[in-house]
Amino acid sequence: MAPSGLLGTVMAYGRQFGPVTEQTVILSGGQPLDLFGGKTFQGIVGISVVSETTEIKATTEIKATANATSNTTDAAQRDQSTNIGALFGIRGQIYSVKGITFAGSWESHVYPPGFSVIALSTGRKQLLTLNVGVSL
Amino acid sequence: MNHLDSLKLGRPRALILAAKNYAPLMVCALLMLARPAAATTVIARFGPPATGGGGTNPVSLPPALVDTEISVVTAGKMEFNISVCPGILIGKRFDKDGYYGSGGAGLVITQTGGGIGGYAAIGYETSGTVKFNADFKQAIGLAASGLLSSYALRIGAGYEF
Repeated sequence: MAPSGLLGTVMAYGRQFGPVTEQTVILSGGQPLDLFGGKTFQGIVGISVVSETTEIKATTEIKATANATSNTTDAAQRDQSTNIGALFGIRGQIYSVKGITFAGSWESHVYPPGFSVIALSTGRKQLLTLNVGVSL
Repeated sequence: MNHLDSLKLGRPRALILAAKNYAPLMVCALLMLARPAAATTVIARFGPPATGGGGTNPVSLPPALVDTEISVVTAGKMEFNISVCPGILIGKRFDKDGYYGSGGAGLVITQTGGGIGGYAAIGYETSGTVKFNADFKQAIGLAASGLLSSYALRIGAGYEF
């Protein structure tokens, strides 16, 4: 969190199952707002950018199947997509002592699915977090 | 005793007398000019909810029932939200400079069913009798099938009674 009060967050997570690996990186910046009548809970509004990568490590069998069905010599093995959207959420301070703060947040990173659909239609990454911060 | 007589009296007695004579007029004027600082507001919002079914939901034109939400905000800032999704939710609203945050609990509804849970919302609302409203609401519920989660980003209009 910057002295101006702006809150920046980078989150990376992923999973691997079989030959498929998914990785997601979310970069967000937001302005905490004292909407809940005190400092314990705050609302957050901001901008969020997501980058998702799906990679398939083609085995010999998959390559053979892909080559047999698509008449190509190399199967598509990596897909990367990026989107920009809005951040909405709340965060709450659970406990604070000597510059160390324990907090939690419930954030929704909302993205437009594309330009071919009517506005207000969205996709979302929902993040529930518990975090510890130190004042520098 | 007429008003000219009251001028001959001491100032405190004259003021009391004037207040007695003009009190009904002053009360009427105050009633005509005064407006409650806060009153009940009914808000209709429209926008597609994410029902937890995966993917995105298209907007229906005109808005279907699932795209519609009715909220009632009382003078005491209690908030009653009625919608197919994210559900039927009751909470408390906190205002600040047109922006607001709210939170509470109720029946959370998603594509896979309903359950008891909580919600949090943030939004923006203009002042006046007729208000513009933009609201983001997210809810998490618990059902026999597991966790339920849904949200809705909606805009609409409110009328203050």
